[in-house]
Amino acid sequence: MEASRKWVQTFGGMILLFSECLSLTFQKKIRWQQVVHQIFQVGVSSLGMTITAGLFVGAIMALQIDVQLKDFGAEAFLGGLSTSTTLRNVGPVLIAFLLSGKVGAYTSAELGTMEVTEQLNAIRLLGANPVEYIILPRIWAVVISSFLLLIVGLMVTIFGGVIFAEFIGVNALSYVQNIPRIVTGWSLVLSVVKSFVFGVLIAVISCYKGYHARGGSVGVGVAVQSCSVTNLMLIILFDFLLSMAASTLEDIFRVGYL
Amino acid sequence: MKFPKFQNRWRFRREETFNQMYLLGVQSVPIIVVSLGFVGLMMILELAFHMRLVLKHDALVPAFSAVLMVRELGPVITCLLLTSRIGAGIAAEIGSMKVTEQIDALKLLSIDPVDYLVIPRWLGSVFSACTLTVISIAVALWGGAFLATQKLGTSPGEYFNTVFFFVKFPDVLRCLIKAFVFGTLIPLIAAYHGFKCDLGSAAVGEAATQAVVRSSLAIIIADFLLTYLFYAV
Amino acid sequence: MILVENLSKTFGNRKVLDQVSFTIPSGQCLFVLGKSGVGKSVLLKHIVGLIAPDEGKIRVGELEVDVKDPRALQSVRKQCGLVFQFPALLDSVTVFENVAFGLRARGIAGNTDEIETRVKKELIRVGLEDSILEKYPAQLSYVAQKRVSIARTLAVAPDYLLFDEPTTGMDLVATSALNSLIQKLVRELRVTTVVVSHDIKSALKISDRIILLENGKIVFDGSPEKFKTSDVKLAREFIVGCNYGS
Repeated sequence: MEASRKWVQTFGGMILLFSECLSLTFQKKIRWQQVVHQIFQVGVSSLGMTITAGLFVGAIMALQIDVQLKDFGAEAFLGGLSTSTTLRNVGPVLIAFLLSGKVGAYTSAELGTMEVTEQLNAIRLLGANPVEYIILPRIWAVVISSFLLLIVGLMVTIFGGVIFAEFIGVNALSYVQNIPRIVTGWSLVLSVVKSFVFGVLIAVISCYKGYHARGGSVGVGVAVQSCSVTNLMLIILFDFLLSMAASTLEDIFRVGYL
Repeated sequence: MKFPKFQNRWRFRREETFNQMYLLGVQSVPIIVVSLGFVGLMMILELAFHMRLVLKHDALVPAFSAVLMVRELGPVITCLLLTSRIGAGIAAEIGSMKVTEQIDALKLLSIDPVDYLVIPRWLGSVFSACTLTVISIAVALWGGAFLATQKLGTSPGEYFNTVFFFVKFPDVLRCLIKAFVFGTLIPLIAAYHGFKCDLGSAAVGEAATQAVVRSSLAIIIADFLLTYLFYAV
Repeated sequence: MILVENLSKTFGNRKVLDQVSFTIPSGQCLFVLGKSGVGKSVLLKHIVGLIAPDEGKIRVGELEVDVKDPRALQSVRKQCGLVFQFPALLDSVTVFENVAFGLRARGIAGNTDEIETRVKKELIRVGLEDSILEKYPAQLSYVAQKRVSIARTLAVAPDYLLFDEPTTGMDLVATSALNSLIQKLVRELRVTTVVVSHDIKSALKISDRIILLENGKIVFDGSPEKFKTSDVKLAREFIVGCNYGS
């Protein structure tokens, strides 16, 4: 019971922080220069990791689906099925996991350290709002860079699949040609929406956890770890919710029935 | 050559090992269970979509979902969740021990820090990875059963029949091997970063973050290699 | 002046402040002493509204410090400058930007030239040179960082100056230098100053008045001379410790 009360408090706190940032944004109080600076700090260094992960995830899914399809002699569908599953699900989730580990941990550690060394208090006392000056640019930076990195990562998974297909003797051309027959427009939309939502999750969770770090350097460590775990769980939860929504819409509009 | 010493050391480390198994494994259960439950649900949805698209009927959805859980997502997602829970913790623990010179103190007492610190954590991690993977797959299958009966109109009986028909023993064995390998990678990479940590509290945080990122990537790469080894060779 | 009335605060099961009351007249330099961890910093944070009391109230000048009223709080904070125990400089911006931060945030100074003049003036006042303007906090020594944080607080011209353990963790030479600075500021600016510390030597040297906290209560309140001859047990311990050092 204690645990669920904490969850509700955390969830509520995050929604409050998010809405405060939204309202500050609408009041045009963002410093875009800061945002760009943060994007470079945080996003660019994650590019290598994202591309590596993308390649391997694409290859893994191509391999697994190929094994399954062999039992049915349906290898012709490899390109489409593997890409579709990866883009709709496995891709966004696994790459978001990695991003939450790197980008999320970095942001929550930075903010947590600023909080426990009283920098945020100092800002309050000088008459400024720390959310506006420090948190807002970081949230935007993380949302934008996570979203872009996820899109890049997903595109790389397609590459990974193609390269692996060639490697095991499937014709790369027929692999690629199969893709548009199975990957629907809706699937692409779902993929992009998930990337955006995961970006927002990583941003809000890591900023919230860092902002509420308490108790010296131990507190910062607790905040970072809590941020990682919360990120992973909420990514999985929202992955399910978005898939559920997509599934319901697809049923309604009878999309995806060949 | 090491055996007599090993038995003595084992008696000494036994308590610490069980302690680690509890800390790393048992305390992670709620998170794993909740998360993988949702993964199981999600699998049914996605596979239903694709099966309808390609095969026009969805009788095989439970089977495929179970197979993919056991072969792939079960071990990988469970261990990625564990990485953030235990990888950061181990790296930070060992890192701050290094910063406060406790590692040096151990060496001066003729205790090998790797033996004292890493082995119990490795055993605890492997234990957690394997048992939690099994538990999580069970939970995911239950979740899938629930959704399948709602959405696909199968009965629970049919669901589990197809599952047990398609998931074979070699699959289960390979799943456990994957869990074992991932469970080994996490503490080794984390301990490495802890031991090599610079001095200063900022460095400890750095070590923990790097440990998590590198373990996660290592799991994905190892997953690819193992999957290739098991199924394509 | 600052008025503190029946202030009480409990953390967990520890009563950190117990019905603490005192008044600080304008222009006084007050030292709040006590053992480490007794709750002196907590008292200071109440004055600027960073912590809400369980009981009691605080008045700064004409305004009551009420955590729930953001506008009143803002006015109070405009009048008070708090120098933290850690330098608490923003490590992602230069020294210049750090000192100018308060000026910009409150819209006090107008154009860039005016800001630059004021920043330089404050840095000189705390004994630093122009050359550090473009440096980042991490490149400065700990003592230099502390001076910059004082400059930052002074830049917004507060009516009350609050110091939280300014000389903790510094060697004797640095301590003496910082004490001289605080003394100079008190004399030059004639602001009401509250220094929270456990450094009895500094207190005896530069304060007008000493308050001693123990177990959440005030056990001594008077001038430094009276402190030296006081009967209060804790005060005697502090004096003995002080003499032992010399």
